[in-house]
Amino acid sequence: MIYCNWAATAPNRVNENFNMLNQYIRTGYTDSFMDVREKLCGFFAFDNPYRLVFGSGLTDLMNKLIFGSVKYRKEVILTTCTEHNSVLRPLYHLNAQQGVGLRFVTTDKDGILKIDDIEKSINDDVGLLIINHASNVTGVIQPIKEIVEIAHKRGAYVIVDCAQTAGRIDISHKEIGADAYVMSAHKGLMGMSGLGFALIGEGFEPEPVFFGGTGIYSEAKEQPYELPYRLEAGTPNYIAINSLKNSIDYLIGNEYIRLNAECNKMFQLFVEELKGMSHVELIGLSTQKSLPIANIRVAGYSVEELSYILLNVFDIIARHGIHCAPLMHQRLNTAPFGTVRLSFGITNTEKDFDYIINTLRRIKK
Amino acid sequence: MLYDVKLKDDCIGKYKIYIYRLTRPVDRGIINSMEVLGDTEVFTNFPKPYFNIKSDYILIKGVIGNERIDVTYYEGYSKEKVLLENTLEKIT
Repeated sequence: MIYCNWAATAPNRVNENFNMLNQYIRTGYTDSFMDVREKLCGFFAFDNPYRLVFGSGLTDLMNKLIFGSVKYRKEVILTTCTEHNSVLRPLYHLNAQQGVGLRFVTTDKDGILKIDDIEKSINDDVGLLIINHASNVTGVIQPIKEIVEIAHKRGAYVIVDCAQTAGRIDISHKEIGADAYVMSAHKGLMGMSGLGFALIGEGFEPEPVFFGGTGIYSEAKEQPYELPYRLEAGTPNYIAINSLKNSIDYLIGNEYIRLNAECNKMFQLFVEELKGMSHVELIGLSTQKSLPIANIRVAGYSVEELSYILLNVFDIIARHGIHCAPLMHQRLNTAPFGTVRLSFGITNTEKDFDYIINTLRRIKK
Repeated sequence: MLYDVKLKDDCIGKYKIYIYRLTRPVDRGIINSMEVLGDTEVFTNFPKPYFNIKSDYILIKGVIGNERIDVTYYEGYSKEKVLLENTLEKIT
């Protein structure tokens, strides 16, 4: 099986996760995961492990940060057309229920955000910018450091969606300086699904919007205000959290930056081959630094038929549709049916890329 | 011969995909029975014998020899779902 669905979920490291499950069953592991928090903080150059908040995933944490940031948001929340529904739907809900204004910065036809457009859109009415570090559709990595600097100069707070970039490129809080970063465990970090975490910068204090047990201050009627408990009500996913520690060790031990660079090199050659195929349409591929994601359509097949054939006839796992990112596909002129997305990662080999090229040649009508 | 129908959960656009599980593997006879729903193509040159049946409102996809077919219903479909399910029920 050729796995090309990294933008959705990394191939599961079953043995590692199974070992963690065994350990949990034997010991009833229930600490506060300080060792995992510290390891993750080290990985992202983030100082304070108490300001790392676990949640069930990016959607859960984005909801908590967006709805908990009332005091920061002013009249308008600024965001972009590259966002995933985990950001768009909470924002649409705020807009419909509370009349909060939304302003969208759009990309060029290849999915690149222009710094000028961001700058022009951050007026005095904007208190909060929520922005994707890299789109799950195009893979384009946005110049996040510059964007954060501009937003801060204009007095806006910035929440960065790092679902696609965590574990794929070096992310340093010390360098970027955003107010919050939200990450998924199950993509580039190669952890288990059902887990995400947010790094909450000093001076950014979202209010709790979800209340319950924390394991401390049990006599108090209010949710404890100190982090991480303020935003961590309820039983955590012990197994996934502890398993994530092993994933970080795996990435560091295997020089993930070098492996990702090798994958990108193979991907560039792959793209050159695709460009030479008259029956393959390559969409939204920019010259800007990107994750190895190719969106294709093939003459004579709908995207879902192509995806079906790749999986059921050629054993290639890809993802078709609009990838929960409707605005991005509108911008690429691929809505409502979308594309077949081939997204690669550090487990892919040259053989995989060759096999896909040969498959695409073979299915030409 | 139809024993299970499930809606496929995915980030898809304006259409629905259903998975149909049959009580026996798809063969040429079953494909012929479904041809009332659209134009048929069989790709015998592929590593597995893929087939489709297409119209403006439906796309049936499957591999000969498998007990599963995936069926897409496009916006505006009406009689296609009932017709397909009745057709599959009648096949023994």
